[in-house]
Amino acid sequence: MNKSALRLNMKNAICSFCVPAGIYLIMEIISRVVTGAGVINNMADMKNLARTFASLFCIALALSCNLPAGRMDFSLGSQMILAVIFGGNIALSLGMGGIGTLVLSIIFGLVAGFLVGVAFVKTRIIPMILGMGMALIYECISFSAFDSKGLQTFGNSKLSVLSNVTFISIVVLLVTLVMGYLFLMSPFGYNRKAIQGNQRIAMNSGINIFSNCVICYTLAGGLVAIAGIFDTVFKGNLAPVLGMDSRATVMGNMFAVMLGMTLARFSNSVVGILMAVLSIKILTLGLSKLALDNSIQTIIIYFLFLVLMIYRMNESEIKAWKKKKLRIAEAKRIRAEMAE
Amino acid sequence: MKQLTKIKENRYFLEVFPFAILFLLLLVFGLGTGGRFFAKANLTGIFNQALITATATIGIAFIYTTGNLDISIGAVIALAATVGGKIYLATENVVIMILVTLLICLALMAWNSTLSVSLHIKTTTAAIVMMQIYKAIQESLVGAVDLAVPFAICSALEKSSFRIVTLLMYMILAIVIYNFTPFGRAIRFIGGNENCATQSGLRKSTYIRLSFLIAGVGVGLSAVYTIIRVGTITTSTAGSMGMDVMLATVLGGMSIFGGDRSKCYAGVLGAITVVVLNKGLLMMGVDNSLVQGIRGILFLLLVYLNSERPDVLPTRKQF
Repeated sequence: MNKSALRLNMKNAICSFCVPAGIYLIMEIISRVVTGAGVINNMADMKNLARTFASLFCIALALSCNLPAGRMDFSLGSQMILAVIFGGNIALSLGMGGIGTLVLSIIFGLVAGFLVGVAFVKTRIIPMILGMGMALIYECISFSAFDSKGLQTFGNSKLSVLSNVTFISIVVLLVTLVMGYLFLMSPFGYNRKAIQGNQRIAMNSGINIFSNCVICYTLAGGLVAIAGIFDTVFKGNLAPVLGMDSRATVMGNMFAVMLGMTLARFSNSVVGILMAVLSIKILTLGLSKLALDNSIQTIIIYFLFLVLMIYRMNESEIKAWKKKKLRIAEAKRIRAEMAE
Repeated sequence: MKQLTKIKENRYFLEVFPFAILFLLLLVFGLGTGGRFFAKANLTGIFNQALITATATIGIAFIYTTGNLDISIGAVIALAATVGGKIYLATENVVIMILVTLLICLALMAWNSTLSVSLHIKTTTAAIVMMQIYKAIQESLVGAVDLAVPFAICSALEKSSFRIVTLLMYMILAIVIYNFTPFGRAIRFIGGNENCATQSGLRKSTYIRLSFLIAGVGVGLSAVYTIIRVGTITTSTAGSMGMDVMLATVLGGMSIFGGDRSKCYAGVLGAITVVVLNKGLLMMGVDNSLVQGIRGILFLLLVYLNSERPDVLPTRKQF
């Protein structure tokens, strides 16, 4: 690797890491000034961060399977609920442990995602609309099953492995490696990128856009199942919902994907999302340390999301405006010099 | 499949289909409930429930026609109703409550359009972000105790002709603007082919902004009706409105993808169909969760019948 490439890589690595580090620093200062204590004070805070990080990371990766290609899937939340309720209850009734529950939930998640993918390819209804319809159906199935009890994990010692920080870290590492390979190094990933660029050109060049899309939906289903099972074990239960309440999973986690896609320019999509999720989790932990109301936390986080969106969507205009400003300053300077 | 496509492409299909669906539902539920479905109390309930969704759907049709989707309606109605309710409790003046509720809706819809038109954020993404913010603001305004507007006021407004008169006025105005003015033609053109419309000299941003404002009036009236009907405003008020509006649009025979197949009165028909479907299924003893599943299947089926099948996958990049 030559010197300039090495320097660029170093710069990108620093930029990637700067966002979570910067947010941590800001929140640490605010927290110390306001409460007298830091953001992460003890092992409990660390465990809390790790558990919620794993869930958000998987959801953000699931969203990023389809979102960059222009497919916003509102059924992801309902797929998560369905996979966890069916996978969890069946695994527990078969006497399986934590790993068995996780695997069975993933299988149900993959099936749920696959069905949405097939429905999309067959009907070609706009993804967001299809997602809404599928969410209504999946919510109905999850609610009707197992006497509407959902999944109870509180006090179940068999599932203790799912709240073990080391196990969670191993799963996160595995997910990162698998998704990193699939998105960045596999033929599936190359095709996915080509489709993201221009679907018609990709199709004309021989890529099967339909199978690639179904795989994306299937992967997303599996990922939300992982997120769902960790979240359920952390909270102690998962109650089925109706009335499209499951869409909060998508809406509540879009910031992570958006920030991840912004940070991806310094590394790649997987590392970008990893850093984005870490940043958001530190921010959330910091805000909760300030004892702020939940709704105030939401307003702050979404306000930041809005600012980022405005920046992202107007980046070229902002750059052009800056260039123009520099040009005017340069012209003024030259004119002043000539006048002298 | 070919037969289905042929039926779908028939020019009269969209005109007849919504009426046929409503007639079929009325027939099935009438027979299924032994005529109980047509009892006066039930029909009044259907009217009261459909009124809120219908008013919002008439307005939202203007946004859908331009090819944009705004799903933050529920949050806008909830926030406006909360502020309106608070204003009433502070002033005890119904007129101020109605005006403030309408103004809040107009302001929020204007802000949504600014995000989309001036700040170039896709309408759906802007709606998702703003929905979370509006909902959070509403939650912090409502607090732990639900907001209750006195029953006497709500009841008096419900019994008066206020709702019917305002709905009719708004509906007639909307139909005239939509069908008999250059503005209506322009938004249908934009929804049908945005590039062509822009290159023909139409100022897309102005038309979209105006569409949001017209929708704001409908959403505002819907928020006022919500206060009158519910009386108590909670954090779950108007929670499913976004979905109901979309379902009503589809059931009314309008395409949610905009264009020349759009019609703004579809919302009224669709809203009645949604409420008839919900009430009828519940009266026939169908479980609430199953009602939702049936709604989901029907929704997808109707969207499928109402949309063209492209040769590539339909996508909409959000950012």
